[in-house]
Amino acid sequence: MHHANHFYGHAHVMAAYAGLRGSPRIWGYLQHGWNILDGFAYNTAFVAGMPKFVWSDSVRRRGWSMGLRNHSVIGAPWLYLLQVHPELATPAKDAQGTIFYPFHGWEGQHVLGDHGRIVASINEHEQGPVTVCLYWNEYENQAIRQVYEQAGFRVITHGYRGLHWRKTDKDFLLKQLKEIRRHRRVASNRLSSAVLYGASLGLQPGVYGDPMLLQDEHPSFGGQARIKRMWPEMDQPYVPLELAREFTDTELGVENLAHPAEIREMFHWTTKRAFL
Amino acid sequence: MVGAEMLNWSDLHPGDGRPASGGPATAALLEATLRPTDKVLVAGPHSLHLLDLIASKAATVDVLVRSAPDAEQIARVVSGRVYCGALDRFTGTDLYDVVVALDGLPRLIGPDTPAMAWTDGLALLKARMAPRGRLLLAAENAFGIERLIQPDVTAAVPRNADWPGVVEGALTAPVGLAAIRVALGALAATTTVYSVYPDLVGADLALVTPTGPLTAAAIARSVAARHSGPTLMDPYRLIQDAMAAGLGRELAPVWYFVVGDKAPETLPANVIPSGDGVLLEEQLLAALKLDDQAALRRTVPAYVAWLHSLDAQSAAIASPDNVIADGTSYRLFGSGVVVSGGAVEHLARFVRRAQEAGSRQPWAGDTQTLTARLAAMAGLEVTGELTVALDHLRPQGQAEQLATIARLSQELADANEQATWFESQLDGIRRSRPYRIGHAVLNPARVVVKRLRRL
Repeated sequence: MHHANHFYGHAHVMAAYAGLRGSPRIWGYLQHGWNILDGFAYNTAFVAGMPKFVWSDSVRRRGWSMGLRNHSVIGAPWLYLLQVHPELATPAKDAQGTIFYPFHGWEGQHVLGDHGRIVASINEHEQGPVTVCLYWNEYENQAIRQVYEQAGFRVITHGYRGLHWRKTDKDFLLKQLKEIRRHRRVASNRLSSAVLYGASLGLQPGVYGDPMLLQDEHPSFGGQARIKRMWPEMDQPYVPLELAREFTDTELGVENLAHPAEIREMFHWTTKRAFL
Repeated sequence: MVGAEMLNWSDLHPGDGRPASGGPATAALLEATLRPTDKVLVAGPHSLHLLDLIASKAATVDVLVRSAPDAEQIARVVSGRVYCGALDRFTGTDLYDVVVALDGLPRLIGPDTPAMAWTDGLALLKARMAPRGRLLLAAENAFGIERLIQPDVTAAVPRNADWPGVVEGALTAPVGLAAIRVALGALAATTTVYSVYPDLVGADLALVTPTGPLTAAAIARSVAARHSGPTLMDPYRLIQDAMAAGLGRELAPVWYFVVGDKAPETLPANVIPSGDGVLLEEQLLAALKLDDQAALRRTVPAYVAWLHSLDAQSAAIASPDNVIADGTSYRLFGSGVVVSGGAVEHLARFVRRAQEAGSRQPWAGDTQTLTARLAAMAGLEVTGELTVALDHLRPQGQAEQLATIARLSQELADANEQATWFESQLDGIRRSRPYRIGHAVLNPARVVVKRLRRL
């Protein structure tokens, strides 16, 4: 239906949870990242009446207020990944330090900001070893990578999220889960999906440093200012675990996990045609 | 014969009117109030069944009816005196321990009585009460719930029973409960008011306090069964919503006034299940209306698990509209429709009822699709055609028809747009270079393969 359904290997994760192989097409639109608006990229061209699969009830309400209908609140694919990989239910034995996610852009929008300032704020707040996880386009950029490497951080990437069904790293999310399990703390310069994922597993979350700017960021999302007004408690270097858990449970839609049979039903994965 | 009797008329066997009053609630009230020493006057058409009951409970029974044929028939059943004629001609002096007028007052007179006010009629009955005598009186609500369910067809096509009387003069009860209480005068002090459903001639339920979700369900069932034909609005949902708004008493089609006596608050007793809880159907409908999908995913699997724990007989009638949910524990409400096919068919029945009641659904789709969705929440897969979904939907009333038309129009428009979009996608693929190259290469290849096979 929409190529964003397959970002980060989400469709693969959902299929594995539903007991299927590969990444069959999903009948509708699957929210691909934590989002403070209707759950989808700005200006997504929806086909009327097609289902929207969103993470949380708050996204459903906002979407409805913007004219979208036919929502199914199913929780984040992240939660389904956890179901598929029970062996990763606990932290790695040698888990330590912090995994830091500098706010990332994508192929169409680059991030504008000074990575050197990010390094400085990491040094200010972190004590243990630090892993910096870059999105692939920043990881490929030697200059950016060096900034973090020279600061003595381990620099990694989870892979390529895919575009138009091509080059999708189907293990993107799994790699992320494995990495998060190797750390005790998760931080970023913006409240983002990665922070939610980490905090949902009990990592001590932190949000600090220059939030940087996204090229041509659309004003309808309200930007960082809106996030800070909505969740001021999440905007601090050490967010209390309890607050973080309440926030991640709501935003990831923990209450809304669907049965594998319901996923098959919703995504139209009940007919053989779906797998051709 | 006391005068002004109706010779060619019967209320027991009406040609073009309503039958005599009866019903389980009426019988229960009489059972609860009559004593073996009572001298009783029954005023107005009451069913032979009720007259039998009264005769068996009281010492003596006298009857006053307007119809001559009825009087003759009743005289064969009742050992007391049977007076035939209009109330205004009923001038004896006998006093009674109990006066029963559970058909109300209007049918105590015929066309020969030009005018008689309700209070005057009441005064005549009151005059027949012995000191410390009791009165069981019914009055119809001029604005009962049925006004919202069906237009008053008698206004357009009056029956013989609806001969036009005189304004304020045909023994019609004052309009509204408050006005009737005022008209009761001194009697009001010792009066208990019952709200009676679904109507005067077939009273299923009489309640002092018509409140609470299980009471609402019992009343809704009764009213829906009575109004099974074309309606303005789904009677079942209308009652549920009116009761939820606390209007069970104001909108009751009939009130019973029990003067100088006491009876159980609910008649018949045990007709409403005891204990807490709400119908599972109400819970599910509320979740669907509010799009509370998490609640649905909690409730549906719990219900299905409970269903599987039941014996076959109970499971067959355990549709959501016949199950009481109290937190996470479930029990049967009462007797229900037998549904074969297990949990999936029960869910299908629920979906169909919800659709026919024009209730909001979070997702587009027909009965089959929505049932499959709910069933999948409990891990059940719908494989075949559902029996409940075979027929076309029949929205309950005109309001629900409008809602259904609006819903289907939207779904049709969406489906059209989807078809256009898919077509444009196909078109894009056909025009794309990879497709054209593939086509150009494969077609000659096919020809080659075919020719090779022929060799």
